[in-house]
Amino acid sequence: MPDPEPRSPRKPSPLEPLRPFTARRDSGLELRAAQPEPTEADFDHSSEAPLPHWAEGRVDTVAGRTLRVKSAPGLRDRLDLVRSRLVRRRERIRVAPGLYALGNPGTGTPVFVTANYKPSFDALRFALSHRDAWLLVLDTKGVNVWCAAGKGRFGDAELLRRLRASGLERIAPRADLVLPQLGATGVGAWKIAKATGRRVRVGPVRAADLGAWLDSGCVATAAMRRVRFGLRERAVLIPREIVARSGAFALALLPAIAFAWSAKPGIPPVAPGANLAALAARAFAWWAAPAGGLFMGLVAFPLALPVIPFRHFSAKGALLGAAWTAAWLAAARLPPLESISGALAATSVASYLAVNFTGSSTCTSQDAVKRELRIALPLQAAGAVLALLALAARMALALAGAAGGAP
Amino acid sequence: MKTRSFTYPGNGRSLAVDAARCRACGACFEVCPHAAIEPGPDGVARVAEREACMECGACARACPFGAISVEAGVGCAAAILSGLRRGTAPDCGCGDGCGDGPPCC
Repeated sequence: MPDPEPRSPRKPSPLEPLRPFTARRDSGLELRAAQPEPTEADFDHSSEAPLPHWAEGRVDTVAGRTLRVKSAPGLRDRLDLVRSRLVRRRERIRVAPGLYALGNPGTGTPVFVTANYKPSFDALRFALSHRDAWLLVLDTKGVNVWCAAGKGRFGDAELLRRLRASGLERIAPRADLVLPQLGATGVGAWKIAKATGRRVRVGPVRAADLGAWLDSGCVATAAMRRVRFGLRERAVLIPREIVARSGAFALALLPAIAFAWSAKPGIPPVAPGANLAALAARAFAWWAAPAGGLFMGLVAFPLALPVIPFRHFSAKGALLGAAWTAAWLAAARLPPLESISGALAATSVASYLAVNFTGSSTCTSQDAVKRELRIALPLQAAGAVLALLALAARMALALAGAAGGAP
Repeated sequence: MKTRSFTYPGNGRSLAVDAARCRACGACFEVCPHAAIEPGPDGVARVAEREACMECGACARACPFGAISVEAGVGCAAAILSGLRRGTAPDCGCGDGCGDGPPCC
């Protein structure tokens, strides 16, 4: 197949459709510089390699061979979806960019554009079951349509490049393009129409609505055009938040343990004969404050989002943290310094996590979040610092008491 | 309508419609995920609910006549903080393979 794109210096090997990332954590910039953007489908459709589990065969077109994809979810597709809601690096759950066939598409069959994040690709093919379609998968580095569009990867340039590289100009020269609505942040439908001479339609927000949209003659209802962020949409985000923040729960144990030791004279190390169970209980009593703040910010906040008083996420989170604090104070009954420390920790942790949920929410603008952070972040940081200072003061008092022999 | 529109304080400040340039084609209403922008009685675009606008920039990109302007960006605290830390523009790092920061977008 002739390659209309300028050759990149290091062409990716054709049998590396799912090349895993091996870069160091801090090397985002070097990674982008060192790895040239693939200039054509980095998947060898003509190979006799085993079919991916989501493909059911191969299709010959005038521009070469491609894969025919299944339109029913299999067990591994369901596992991929579950995994995408748990793992940190979900961008690894991806398919190779390029053109795929669904059913028996012809020269006039519409082309549905999507991202190479596998759950996005899956949602599209499942929504089009029992239909014929071309699926054009853009290289979004394993990021979903909306986020990739916001970063420009699901963009005009990538779409035009992928249209050329896939051979669609020969395979289906005048077929309509159907863009996902949430791709509109990166792709201007009129620009694509102008550049390709094709009719470009903007499909609904959710792939699941595609059937109804197609059956109604490509007319979207108002509901199809709106992003939903109901209880269900918010709840599925929680497992991944907890997995990603699990280290924070453990981190909160450090001051808790230090605090518990400080409560006994003769530390460190733990004095012989010290009651370890009592120490653990004290550590847990303090830990319950920041851990509760984490729980409130990661679980309670997304679930209760619309019904929590206040409008700013940081204020909503602080309120949840304060609610936890009230319960914790009543239950733990610690002395004043410990109580102050725990209260500040729970409140600032919950508030910080809540404002971080702006990245998962569907409704916050960058400017609004920046304005909020300017006020909320110093307060949250101050709360956390004061919480640690109060603990440190308690420890210092305990040490002084131990040294002086007075309680 | 089933969907309740989430609004946020401070949203949509930069969204502006130049009614003189608008040809009432409807491309902007079509792509707005929050119905923040809607047709007026004459079909010309107008801001319907400013605080529902998350400034994603879809409407401005969809407009063939340059009638809409908005300062677009991802509204993600993690992205903004990561940008502050690195001294760059807000970037959540999603899909860059560096996996820096909390889960986002």
